[in-house]
Amino acid sequence: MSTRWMRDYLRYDSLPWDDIAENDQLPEVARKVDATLVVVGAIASRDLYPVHHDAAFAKRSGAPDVFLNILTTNGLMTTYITNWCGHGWDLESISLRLIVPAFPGTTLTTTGSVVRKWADETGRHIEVAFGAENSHGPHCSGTAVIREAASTERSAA
Amino acid sequence: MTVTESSTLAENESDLYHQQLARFVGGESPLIESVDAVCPQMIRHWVEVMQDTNPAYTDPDWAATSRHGGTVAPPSMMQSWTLSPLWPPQEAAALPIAPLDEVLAEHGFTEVVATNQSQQVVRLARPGDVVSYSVRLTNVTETPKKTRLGLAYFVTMEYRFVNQTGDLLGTQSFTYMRYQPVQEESNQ
Repeated sequence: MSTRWMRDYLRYDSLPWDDIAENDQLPEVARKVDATLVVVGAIASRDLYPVHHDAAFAKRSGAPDVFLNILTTNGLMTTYITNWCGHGWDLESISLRLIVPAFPGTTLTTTGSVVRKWADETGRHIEVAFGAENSHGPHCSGTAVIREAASTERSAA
Repeated sequence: MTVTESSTLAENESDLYHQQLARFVGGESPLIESVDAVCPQMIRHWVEVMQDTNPAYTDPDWAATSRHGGTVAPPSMMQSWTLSPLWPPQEAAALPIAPLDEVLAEHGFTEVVATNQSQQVVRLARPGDVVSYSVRLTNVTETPKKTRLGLAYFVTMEYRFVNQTGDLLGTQSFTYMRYQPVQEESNQ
């Protein structure tokens, strides 16, 4: 298998615990939503319900066009956070609510902030509040918790 | 549809919950096995869409020396491994929402849209793993709510995802609404 061509786009470092503080803002990320993103998102997540690939079906359901499925939104929001913190962190949980659908021809702008930083017997954790908006209003909002990995390298055991 | 008819409808729908919907709450499916095993191709297709930069998903050389000991699947994919193929038609899974959806559709709640999703990650699936899931219907709103899209019932389900040795991969809560499209209501 060759994914060597991807390597320039991958991130081999990770955000250190000490570099994260409560109230930190995550960098804003804008993503153009077009029919391609809606359809490949639906197929990659295996959600074949026609409102996510068939515009005529979507219109009969009362929507102006196809729109992002919730699994793609969930993936985009998870990636927004894990691309920020890097591979030395694991997603523990994410919870989101959809508000206004994301239709082709709009741009999804995602923002986030660190709302809590704490350590307990299970490790060191960061909670992030996030939200994404488009020209129609808020698309989604939610929170996620990440946990720092004890080690980033393979153990001898 | 007139305002009077609409309020009569709301009362009937309140009865609908107690007479027909409530009995489905608490219903749970058996464990249902995925069609495909976790594989690098589907992981890459996902990563392509999300533009995910974590080398644990797509760089096997790096992943082999990492704490994961090899590539892993993004946690958000947990449900995607289990969704039904387009063809051939599958024997209808014994899902607890199937009879509920049927009753709601018979009463004009014909359209579906997801509203909430939450996931708790326990361990990451690896290529070769076979994911199975069970789903339990945990809540239906007792009366239909007014939404921008139309009158809607909200349905919540809890999922459990396990691998081939029964290890828990994660859990998921999922809420969708079943609604009567507004277009029909404005057509007086």
